Amino acid sequence: MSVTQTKGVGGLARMLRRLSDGPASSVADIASAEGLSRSTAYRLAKRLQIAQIVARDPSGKLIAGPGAVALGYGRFGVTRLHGPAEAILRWLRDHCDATTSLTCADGTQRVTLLCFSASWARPGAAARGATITHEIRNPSGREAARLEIACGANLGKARRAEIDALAQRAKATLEHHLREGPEFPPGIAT
Amino acid sequence: MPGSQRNGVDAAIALLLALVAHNGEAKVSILRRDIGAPRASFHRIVRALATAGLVEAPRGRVRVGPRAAAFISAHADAVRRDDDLRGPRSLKPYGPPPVSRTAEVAERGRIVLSRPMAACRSGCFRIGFSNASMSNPWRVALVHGVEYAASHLRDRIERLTVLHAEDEAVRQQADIQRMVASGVDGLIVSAIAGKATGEAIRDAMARGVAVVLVDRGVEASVPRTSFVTGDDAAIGRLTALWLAERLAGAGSIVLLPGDGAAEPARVRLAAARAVFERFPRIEALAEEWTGWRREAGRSIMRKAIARFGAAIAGVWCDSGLQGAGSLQAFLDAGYRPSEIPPHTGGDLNLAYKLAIRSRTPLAAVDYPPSMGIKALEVLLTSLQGGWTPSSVRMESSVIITQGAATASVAPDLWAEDHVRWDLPDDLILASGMGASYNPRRFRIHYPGNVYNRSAARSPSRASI
Repeated sequence: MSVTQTKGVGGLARMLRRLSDGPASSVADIASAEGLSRSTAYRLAKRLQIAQIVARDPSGKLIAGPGAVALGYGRFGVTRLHGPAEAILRWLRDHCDATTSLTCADGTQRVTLLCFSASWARPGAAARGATITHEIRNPSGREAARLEIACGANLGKARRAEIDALAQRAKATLEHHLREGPEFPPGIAT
Repeated sequence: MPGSQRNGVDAAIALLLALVAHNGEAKVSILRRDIGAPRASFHRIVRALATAGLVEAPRGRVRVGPRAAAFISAHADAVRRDDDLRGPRSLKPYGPPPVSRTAEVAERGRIVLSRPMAACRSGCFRIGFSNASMSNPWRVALVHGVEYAASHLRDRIERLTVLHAEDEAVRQQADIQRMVASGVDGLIVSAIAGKATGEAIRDAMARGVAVVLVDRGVEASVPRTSFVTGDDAAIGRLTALWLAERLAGAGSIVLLPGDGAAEPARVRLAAARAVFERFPRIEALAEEWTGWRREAGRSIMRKAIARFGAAIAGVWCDSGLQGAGSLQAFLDAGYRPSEIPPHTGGDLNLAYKLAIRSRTPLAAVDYPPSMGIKALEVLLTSLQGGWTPSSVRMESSVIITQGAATASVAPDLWAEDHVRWDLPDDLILASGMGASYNPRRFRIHYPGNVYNRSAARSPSRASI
C-alpha cells in the first residue's frame, strides 16, 4: 500500500488540537480559526466522525468522540478503562453517595480522568469525611490509576464497611478491564 | 496490499486508532505494519501529528502526546456538566431514584458491565416501552414513571411509544417486533414469562436495538443491555422474618403471594418460605396466588376467615395490592381495631391506610415503580455510547407501623409517616415522581403523546 499524499494530515492535526481545547466548535469556526477551507474542514470532520474520533453534540457542534478520549487515556496507559470507568465511578457514587474520581500520575502531578460528585458535594469544596483510596494496578502489578472515594461526614463503622466492600468490587472490575478489556472501545472503527 | 493507495488523512486516523489499540504506545515497526504505510509517509504523518502535540516519537517508538491528554479534561467537563444537570446534585425537581446499596454489598466479585449496543451517537432517540400488563395500580405507576422520565429527558428523546400486552406473551412478542420494525433505537421491556418474549428480545438485540428489562426479566440466556429491578428476595425475606418474630416463632399463617407467572412473585415467595422453614412452629394454613389483585385477596381471605377464623395468627402478602383486600376481608368479617392479625405487604396507599386505621401491625418493603425512571436513564446512557451495569437494583425502605418493630427488623420509616392520607387509595408509594404525584390526576407531556395524556390511560397502539 502507498500513501498518496500527507498534506491533509497537518489540517487534521490542527483540527484535533483545536478540539482538545475543550468547548464544542462548529466546523465553520474551526475552518476559519485554523485557516482551512470549509470543504476541507467538512471532509476531515466527516472522516474523523466515522472513526469516532470526533462526535457531534445535540446542537451539531464538534466535540471529542470516544476515540479521542480513549487516545487521551492512552497517554497514561489506561485506554481500556475508557468506558468501564465511567460506568463504575457513577455506580460507586450512586451506591455510596460519595464523590468518586479516577486519577493518573503525570510526572509529579495527578490528572483527574473522571469525577462524579456526591449529592452533598459543592464545587471546589473539600471532602466532608474520610477519603478512601485504592490503587488500580495493571497486569504487571504497577499502579495504573487511583480510585478515590471522598465520603460524607459522620461515617459510621457499618457504612464505612459497606463503602469498603463496594470499593473493592469497583477496583476488581477496573483491574479486570485493564487486564482483559477489548482492544478497541466499542463502536470505534478500526 | 500491493497497488492500493490510501489518503494520508486516513493513514493518520488509522495511526491514532492503532495507538488506542496498543494502549497509548508502540514500536514504529508495529504501528507501520498495523496501518500499512510506507516508511517515509509514516514518518511524515508522525511529524505532522507530533507538531500538534498529539503524538510523541521517542527513538523507535510512537506514543500519545500531551495534547491528546487534553481530550480527557474536555470529556470530563462534558460528563460533569451532564451530571450536574441530571445527577444527584441537580437543582431541578427531577432527581435520579436511589439504588440499593444493601443488595450490592451482599454481592461478591466484580460488577458486570454491558458494552453500549451502538457506536456513540448524539441527537435524539426513538424509544419503545413494551409493558406486560395494566392489571393493577403498581403497573400504572410504572408506566407513569417511564413517561415522567421521558418528559424530563425529552432533549434526548425523539419519540416514546408505549404498548401494553395485557399479560399475553404472544401479543408482547408482536408488540416488540412491531416497534423494532418501526425503527426504535432502544426498548424498555417489562417481560411476560415465556419463550415468545425472550425470542423477540433476542431478535431485537441481534438487530442492534438496545433492550433494558424492567421489573420482570426473561431467561438468563437471553441477551439484554441491563435489567433494572428491585430486591425481591429482600422483600420476601424481611417481611417473613418480621412476621415470624412478631408471632414469637409460633402460629398459623396464610400466604397470599402475587402472580405465579411473574418472576418477582416467585422470588419473594421462595425467600419467605426459606425464612418460615427456620421457624418450625409456624404453620401455613393456606397459600394461594392472588395475581396482585385486591379483589382476589379479599375473596380468598373471606373464605379463609370462614374456614379458620381466629386460628389465623398472621397474613403474609408480598404486596399491599392484595394485602389491602385481605385487611378489607377482616373488616368485612367484623374484626375490630387491634383484632386483625399482623399483615405484610406495602406499595399501595390503601394498604397503609387500612392497617393504620384498624391498628393492625404491618411491615412492608415497597417495590419501587421508580425503576421505570431508572430504566429509561440506563437505556439512554447505553444509546449514547456509555457502558452500563448489567443489573441495577433499586433501593427499598422497610416500613413498619409504629410500635411493631421486631428484634431483627427495624423500620427505615414508620408507616404513619409514609402513608398519604391526602392522596387516593390507589396511589403507589416510592414512585420517584415527587410528593405531589397523584395517579388520578397524572398529566404529562413527552415526545410521542398528545394532549398530555398518559399511555396508562390511552395506549398509543394505533400510532406506530
